[in-house]
Order: sequence, then structure tokens, then C-alpha cells
Amino acid sequence: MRRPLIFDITKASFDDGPGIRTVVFFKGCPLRCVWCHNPESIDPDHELFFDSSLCIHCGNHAVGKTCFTLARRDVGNVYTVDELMEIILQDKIYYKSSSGGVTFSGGEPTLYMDYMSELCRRLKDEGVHTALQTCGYFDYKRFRDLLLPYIDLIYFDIKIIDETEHIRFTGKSNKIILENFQRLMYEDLHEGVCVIPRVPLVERITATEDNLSGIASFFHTHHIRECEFLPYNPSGIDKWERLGKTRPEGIPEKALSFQTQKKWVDFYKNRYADFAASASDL
Amino acid sequence: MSYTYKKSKINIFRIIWDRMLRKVRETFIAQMDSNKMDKLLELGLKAMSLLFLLCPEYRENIKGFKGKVAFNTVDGQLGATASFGRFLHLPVLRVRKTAVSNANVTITFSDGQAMASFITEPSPDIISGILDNKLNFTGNMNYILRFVFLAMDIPEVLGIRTRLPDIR
Amino acid sequence: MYEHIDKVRNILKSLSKSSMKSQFPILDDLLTRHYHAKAEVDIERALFMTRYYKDRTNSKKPEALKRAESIHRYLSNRKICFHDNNFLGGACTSKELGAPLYPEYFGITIWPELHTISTRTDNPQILSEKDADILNKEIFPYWMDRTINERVRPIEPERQALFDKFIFYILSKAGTISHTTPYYELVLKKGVREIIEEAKKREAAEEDSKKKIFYKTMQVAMEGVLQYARNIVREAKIAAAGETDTDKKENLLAIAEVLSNVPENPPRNFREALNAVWISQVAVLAENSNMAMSPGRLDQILYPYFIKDYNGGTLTIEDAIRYCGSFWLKMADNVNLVPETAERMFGGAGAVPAITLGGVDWNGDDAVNELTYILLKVTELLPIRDPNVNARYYSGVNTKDYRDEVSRVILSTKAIPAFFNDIENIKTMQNQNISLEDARDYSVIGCVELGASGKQYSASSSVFMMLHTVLYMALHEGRSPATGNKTIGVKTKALKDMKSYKSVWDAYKAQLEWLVDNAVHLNNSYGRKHQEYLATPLLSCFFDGTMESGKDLIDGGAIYNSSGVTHIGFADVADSLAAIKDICFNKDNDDISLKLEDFIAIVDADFNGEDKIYNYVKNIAPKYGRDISANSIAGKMVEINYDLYNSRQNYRGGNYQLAYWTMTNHAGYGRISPATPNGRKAKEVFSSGITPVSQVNTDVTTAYKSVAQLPSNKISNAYALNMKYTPISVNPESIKKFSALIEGFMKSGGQQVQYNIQDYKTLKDAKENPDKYPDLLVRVSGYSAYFKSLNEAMKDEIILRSQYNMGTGEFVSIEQE
Repeated sequence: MRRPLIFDITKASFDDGPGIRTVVFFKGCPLRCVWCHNPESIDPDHELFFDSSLCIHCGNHAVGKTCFTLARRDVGNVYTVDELMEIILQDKIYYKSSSGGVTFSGGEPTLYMDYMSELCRRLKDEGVHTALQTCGYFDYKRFRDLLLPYIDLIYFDIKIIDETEHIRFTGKSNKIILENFQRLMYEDLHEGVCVIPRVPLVERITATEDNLSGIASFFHTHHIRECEFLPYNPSGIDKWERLGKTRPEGIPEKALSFQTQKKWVDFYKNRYADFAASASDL
Repeated sequence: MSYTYKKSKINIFRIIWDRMLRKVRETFIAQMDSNKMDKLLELGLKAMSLLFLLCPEYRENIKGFKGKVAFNTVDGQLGATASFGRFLHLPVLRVRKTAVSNANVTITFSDGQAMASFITEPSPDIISGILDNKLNFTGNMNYILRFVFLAMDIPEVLGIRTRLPDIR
Repeated sequence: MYEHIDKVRNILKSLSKSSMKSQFPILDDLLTRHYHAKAEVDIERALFMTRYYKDRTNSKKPEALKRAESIHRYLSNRKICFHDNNFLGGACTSKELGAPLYPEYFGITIWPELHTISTRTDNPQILSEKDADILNKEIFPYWMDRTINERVRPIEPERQALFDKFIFYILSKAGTISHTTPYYELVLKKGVREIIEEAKKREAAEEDSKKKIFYKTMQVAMEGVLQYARNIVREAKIAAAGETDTDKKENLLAIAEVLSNVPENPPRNFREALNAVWISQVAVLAENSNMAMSPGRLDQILYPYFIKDYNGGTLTIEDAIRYCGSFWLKMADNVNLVPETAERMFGGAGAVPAITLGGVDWNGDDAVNELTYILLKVTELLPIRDPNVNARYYSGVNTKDYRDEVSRVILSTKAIPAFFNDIENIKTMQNQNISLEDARDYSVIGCVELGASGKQYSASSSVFMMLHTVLYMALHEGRSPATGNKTIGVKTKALKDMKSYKSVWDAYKAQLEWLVDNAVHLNNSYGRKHQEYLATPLLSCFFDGTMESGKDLIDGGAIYNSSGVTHIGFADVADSLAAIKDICFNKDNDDISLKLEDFIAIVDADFNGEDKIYNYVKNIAPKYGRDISANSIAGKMVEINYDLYNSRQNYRGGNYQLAYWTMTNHAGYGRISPATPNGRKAKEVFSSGITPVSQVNTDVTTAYKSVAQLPSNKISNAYALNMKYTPISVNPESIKKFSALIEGFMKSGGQQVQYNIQDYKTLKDAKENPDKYPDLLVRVSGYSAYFKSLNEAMKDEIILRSQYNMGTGEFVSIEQE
């Protein structure tokens, strides 16, 4: 079984699903979205963050030695399933009080089907609600057999509807993603699992009239009424430098303003309503 | 405090006070090395004593006050006592050149310098002094409070109303 | 049981801060006046007391009677003022915002500042030249040999000298008889007249002369209260006659009508009940200093009057808000008199009268009623410094709706109320031999302390113990920063002879025991001097047990007679011990290993030139709030404190109950303390209350858990846990999650938690531009304060507190933002 690296575990999150949640961030992603706000999540291998402003040149620079100033931070740690279980279960009392649970994010958690499968099975045994945030780029059969039985909630990203554009901005075709999404919705949606499609809003990339129209049409065709929008968050911008990497060109430096965000959501809703209206005309 | 002085009177006091302060500062600087700070203290107390004598309104502050505030340093080198009492029926301040043992309160400074800076401080702060380990006291703290008030009242008496800059 | 809750809550929903002006113009006006009021020193009480005591015809009387008669004289002659349109009659002082001067305590400490107190930079308190002259020539000269600390000094010179040094312990008995919850219910149930009659009967039947005097003093003091009420009636009528504004006139006449009945007789309606409680509070503050005198469970004691009027159709919800809001603003009509140095170190506090809402009743049933929700609404509409509002919550008995509503008010006001966990708090009180019923009826005193309402004279701020000094002494053979090279405590081992962590711990324990012993002895000596000179007949009337026992409160007349101890520097000391253990006595530490004497030398040199070690201590060494090893040291510190006090008794035959709250002391003491081994450099602030040290990078739930795992049965006076969150949009979902977070903390064993919903940026801006944030309310360590009025150290401490992003749950470091 491939043992994944995990680059962060945050607790008491209000933003990543129902109730209070622990969020586990896996390292490694099949896509290369240019707007990615967790650049450290892309490469599946161990990396280092280095913040030169903190460094006091103490000589502890070698890997394996502790950096006292936290100038150098490991990105990516190995956890056995047991270890991760222990950390997740520390907050069980909060999951219970809030109907919360754990959310797997990344990176792409489905890169580690076997690991995830065991982890989620054991979490279900403990009665912990499990949520998955996925880009949808995975081996469907393995997903269905190994993971789906133990997942309560899936946040499924539909980022760009046009294949060429998708390739341009994420490095991969969206064919598998859209296929997976349809198979999930039509073949395997069982009681007890909930799928929430999510659309990132990045100006000039995903937040365009063409793309949002296309997504509205796609969702309407597949009877998807609800979806969530993820406004672009530039908080990851300075992480590129600390990783020692060059930041991709053309990514916005500012967060989406509330007004612009509303403008695009309204645009999407209007388009969706248009499709619904024209459908009922038929 | 409601002091009503005739203008001419104020001028006289002011001149005396200014001279005194100058003298005090000069002495202070001159004696920094000689480590004989008690002159400074004595001088300050004497100035105060003189003011009680000259200024009836200031004298009002110590009507009926009987008490001794003694000053010394840890090494016992320096010392003085301000002794408040009566001469005939007039309230007076007598200054002694040593710290008496039966004072109501004795303020002990860590050294001459601590004593000097306390005395020349526009608003002497006993608690800060204690916290900074610059001074210590035995006896009734309220006598120090009263003494500090009397010291701080001098500029008021002289009509120097402006508050001196805060030193923190 | 409370059938109107839904209906009342629906009405309350329509009332918001933004519509205050239109819906409650009078409250809005009172609030504006409050924000603009300048504090004035009030010498009226001091003058009446002084003249009484100087009067030679009184000198032969028993001290207790002198006390009663002087209070009577003040109450029955004091000036009656109507500064504003408040619906309630009576005022704590003769000023709109008054700082009463208690000359028998610390009032005299402003002597040096008589000329400057009005104009000083930090929180000036206005004093007229005439009053300053009276203080200087008449009041202070009389008291200079009679203040309580000067009465104690001759019998306790050494222990008092330690107190004078400030860095070992502070005893609040030098400044007050207070920090308790009086039994105001009594004045509602019986009325003052009946209390006087009962005391009279008992006096006649009593043979013990001391008890006889006590019953006499009760009557004398309470007659003063009645005269005070009669004077208000008279003056209100006179003022009404001269008033042209009809609303004002009507209100004055209504006040006259109300006070013609109460507090002499039981109230006939809700307004009378509220005013009776307020008059009682004013009366108690005429006798005892205005520090944390806490009215307690108002939603319980006033409920019968509320529901009767509400059901009878004579009181609307809006009326109730008007009256209760009036009460809130009345509670805020006084502040402490604070000399400048104290202001610099400890400034910004209010008088901290605590009000307690919710929780369970004597039987353990849900006590959250319609009035609870009304008072929560008042708290939201009037986010003022005093009163200090606290919400009790019993998981499983109180509803989730209630918990959510309290959470909503916290998010909406960004600060208040504080949350208290009934399950743990009732248990820990029971562990102090308080009966289950009485424990269930607990109320919060002052900052966070717990007391059986009206039954327990808690004196809960008796001792402030400086744990950082204990640690310093343990590491310096009993020397202290304020005593130079002299060993003042126990001469414990030299550092080079401490060969294990246990020897460090033993030294810590030895120094602590020595200080506890001194503090307890001195506290008891103060108590005995109180018994000699400062009888409290008025406060005693408002306590269950005093009438039956014939004993004044300070003689042990209450049913429970504890004293309270709180601790400064808790988290920093826990982290310091953990760092010592990790760096000097941990064979498995591959990163760093130092001899104890070398490490402490580095600490004593303020980590100068030792960046590597400094960074290790700061970032890597174990910390309370994050690491199990440090948490376990924190737990042991709580246990050892408990063990040391558990074997000691106070002068009233009660025990010592422990707490961990710090007011502003942790900031002030930080400023004057040398570096500590946890990477806190000299002059940096200490952490507040029981809160883990600021900027320790940890998960928020790990921090909660670290606090919750402390042995709460050994913290019977509770603690203040300060948490700071970035503001979040307030909607039903965020409220529910926030509320569930609090539930989780309580379920894991937490006793108390309070919040500042603020970010670094705003607070820094508020420090730079105080005028932009005139009414920014923050939680300090158990009480609320206006940020602008806090001293610099305290402002910095609040800014520095660890901030969590409520959305992502992440810790946000101060550099990061």
C-alpha cells in the first residue's frame, strides 16, 4: 500500500463541511491548476518550506535536524493509519456536539485509495462523518469499490467545462472527471452519500461567461440543482517562493471581491434558470 | 488647592525657589562623585522647611501634623530626617542630618544615586521605586504619601501650575 | 415550565442595536451619556465617615456600632441626585460617574496626586480643588494612622513587608471587604422593615453581648437605608415639581412612588423589585468598597415579579428591557479610585459587579426563563463594561437553543457574556463541602469566581499569588528580583546541585509553600483586623445565616466562609518548568542539552546573544496548550496549589478556594519581571488567567483540551480562559458551530471560557487610534473593559493573544497577519 504524505491537519474548521471538522490535507495531485492556493499539495514527494527572514544561520540546516526558528519546515509527513486515526479521534467530542467529522482534502486524497479505504472504514466504525474533497480525476472502479462505501459526503470539483481550456489551465483533460461525475450520479448514488459539486471562481479562467454557461448547462442536463462556488483565494501566493519554486504566470493576486463573486453567482443562476425555462418549453 | 497669593509675593518665592533649585542641581552634580548625597537631601528639606516658615498657605498643609520621615541608604552612609511638629503654636518642619531611629517611616534607598533621583523626580513614585528595587521602607507608608504630597505641592504654592513632564 | 419563552423570544428577535434609538430612546440616551461620562472622585462618604469618627462623643462606642452609625449617617445625609432619565432611583455616588473614596482602605494612596489626578494621561479622575483640600487637610490626616494596612503592619511587619514589595503576593483585604454575592432576594421577600424587626426581637432576647451589638448594628445600618430611600422620595417629588418636561416629571414621580414602598416593604411589581435590588447594592457599596460586589442570579430572583406583571398585562417585554437596561447603566455608574502607579500597572478595570444568567435551579431543573432571554438581549443592546454578565450552561438540562442564543450574543457583541459550565462547576463546589442544592444555586463573583448565592462569603480575591516569583526563587536559592542578593525565602539547592527535574520541582514546591504560608497568615491577620475595626452590618443583613448565628459576616456569620486565592503567571511557569525539564533533564533530547546552571544563566541574561537557544525554547520546547508533557506539569501545579491550601484555614473557620484569573495583573507584572525560562523575555507580559501562553502554535481544540484536562475539582473558584477569534459573519450556521465548539470544550471538562472576536489588525489600529474606537469592548481576564482605557501593557497583551481563524480553524500568528 502506498503510504501518502500529509502536509497539514487543521482542527475545528467551520468551512469544510457540516459541523466542526478536522481537515486532513494529502500531498500529491494529478492536476496542475494554475490558481492552486496550496502549491505544496501538488508534488507527492517531501518538500521544504524555507523562510529566509527567520533563519539565524545556526547550522542546523541538514534534513533530520530540528530547525529551531521554524525557518525550515517539512512539508509532508508520514502517518500510519493508526496515528492518523488517533489525531482525528481527538476531536470526537466536537464532531458529536456539532454533527461534524473529518474532511479529506489536498492535494488529491483519491491518489491513495487503499490507505483512504482503510482509514475511512475505521472512521465509519467509530461513527465519524467522512467528507472528501476531490478533483474527480481518479480510477472510478477502484473509487467505487474501495472508497465510496465509507464516504458520507463528496465535494466534487467541476472546474472548467471546455476540454481544451481545462487542459490549458490544469494540465489534464476533463474527460475522466466529467465521466466519473456522471457515473457517480447515475450508477452509484446510494442513500447516505451526498454529492455537492463545487465550482471555483477564478476571474478570466473559470469565472467567464462561457465556462459558467457551460457548467450551468451541464448541471441542468444532469439534474444537479445545488452547487457551491469557491471564490479564489490568493493566500497561497507567497508559498511558491518559500517552496523554492516559481509561481505560475497570470494568477490573480487579489481575492475575488464580494461584488464580483455575487455577479458571477447571479450570472450562473440566471443561465441555469434559462436552461430550466427552455427545457420546460419543450 | 485654593491658594491666593499676591503677585509680588509669588515673584519673591519664585526667585527663591529658582535659586534653590539651581543650587540643588549644582550641588547634585558636584557631589555625584563625592558620594555625599545627604547635602542634597538636607538642602531640599531645608528649602521645604523655609517655605513652611515663609508661606502661611503652605504651612496650612501641616497644621496639627506630628511625625517624622527619615531617609537613609542601605550602606548607612547617608541620612536625614524631616520632623514635623510645632514651634510655639506654629507648625514647622525641622531637618536633622541623620536618620533617626524612632521615625514613623524610614525610606531606605539602595544608594546615593537612587536617593538623588527620587528627590529630583518631579513626581516621585514610591511604588515604582519599590518595584525597581531602588527603595524600601519600614513603618507607615501613609507618611511617605503625605510627604510626597508636600513636595509636589511646592510648585503649586509657587504658582508654577504647569505640570512637569512625566518621566517614565 | 416557562410557557412564554417562544413568544418572548419572537418579540426579542425584532429588537436590535440598530433600532435602539427609535425603540428605546431613553436607554440610547443613557448609553451615550455613559460613554461620554468622565470619572469623578467622590469624597462624600469619606467626609461623613471621617467626621463621625472624629466626633469625640462617639469614641467610647464599640467599633462595630461606630461602623453602623457612620454608615447610617452617610446614607441618611448623602446628597440625592438625578443626573439623567434613568428609571431607577438611587446612585452609588453623588457624581454621574463616581469613583468613591474609601479612606479606611486605599483611598489615601491618591494623596501625592491630589493636584494631578484630574489631568493625568491615563484615565484621569476629576477632583475639585475644594475636595482635594478637604482630603489633604481633614480626611487623610485622620486616617493616616488608621488605614487597615497600617493597623496590620505592626503585628505583621515581615509579611507586610513582603506584601509591600508587590512581587510576592497581593492581599485584597487591604483594600476591600467584597468579592461576594449578597442575598438580595431577602429584601424582596421580606423588605427591610421586617429584617429590622427581626433583628430587634433577637437583640432583646439575646444575652451574649457581642451578638446583642451585632443585632443592634443591623438595625442601625438598615435604618440608614430606609432614610436614604425616604430622602430620594422627597427629592424626587421636589424635582418633579420643578420639572417642565412631562416625561421626566412622570418618571420622577414614579421613582418617588416606587421608593415609597421599597426597600422597606416587599415589592409590588417588577420595577419595584429591580429598584429594591439596586438600592440594596447602593447601600452595600456605602459600607464596602466597590469591588466585585455581585448581584448574582437576577433572572432567578426577579422572575416571580416579572412573570406576575407580564401575565397580569401590566408589563410588556419592552418595559422589562427599559427597566433592566436602566439597571445595567446604574451598575456602571461607579468605577474604582485608582492612583496613577496602579493605573499604569493594573488600570482599566471597572468595579466588576457580576450578574449570572441561566443554568439550573436548586432542584437541578432548567432555570432558563423568559427573563434570562430578556437580560441577554439587554446585554446585547448595552455592551458596556459593567455589569460583568455571565451565562451558566448545564448541558443536557439547558436547551441547545439557549446555548445558541448566548453564543449569538457573544458573536454579536464580540465579547460578552462569558460562558460557565454548570456540570464541572457544581461538582467542584461540592468538593468544597457545599451542598448540592447550594452549589446548583451558584453565581459568579467579580471576574470568574463561584459562590453559593447569598450563603457563601467568598472574599474570593483574598490572595493574588505570583507564581513567576515562586519559580524565580526556586531557581535562585530563595532570592528574589526585588531583594537583590539576600535569600528571602527558603534556601533551596544551588542550581549546580539540582541533579534531576525532581529537585527543581521540590525547590519550586518549597518556595511556594513558604509564600503560601506567609500569605495565609497575613490574610488571616487582615481578617482579624477587619473583625476588630471593619464590621459589615449592612452586608451581613444580606446574607443567609447571619441573623440565625448572630454573627457579622466577617466573624463567620455566613453559612459558607471561604477565602479565595488566584494565581498570576500560571502558563508561563508551566512552560518554564517544561522547558527546564526538556533542556536540562531529558536524555532523549537530541536537539539541545544544557546544564541547569548554564541554561538559567542564559535566561537571567535575557537570552542575550543566545538566539539559537532562545528560538528552541520559544518554538520547539514543550508548551502547555500543545504538548502533553507541559500539560501534565500544568496539572501538577494545580494539584500542588490545592494541596497546600487544603490544609489551611482562614480566620472565619472557612477554607481557601483556588482560582486562576488575573484581571490586568499578568500584563503589569510581566512589565516588571525578568525573563522566564519559557522564552519570555524581561518585561514581556505574562499570559492571562489559565490561558496558554500567547502565540504558542497549537490547534484550537488542543488548546481547549489542555485546559479542560486540568483537575477542575481542585479549581473551585474557576478560571478565566481567554480565546480570540477572527470575526466571522454571524449567521445561523456559524452560530451553531461556535455554540457546538463551546459545548465540546465543556464536555471535555472545561469550566469557563470567554472570547474576543477581534483580529490583530483591528486591535493594533485601536491602540494607534483610540478615538476611532471609543466604545470597543474587550474581555480582559474575567471582566470587560473599554480597550481605550486599558494601560499599554494590557493593550499589548490583548493584541498578542493567539488568534484563531474561526472559518478554517487555523492558528494565525501575529507575524502572519
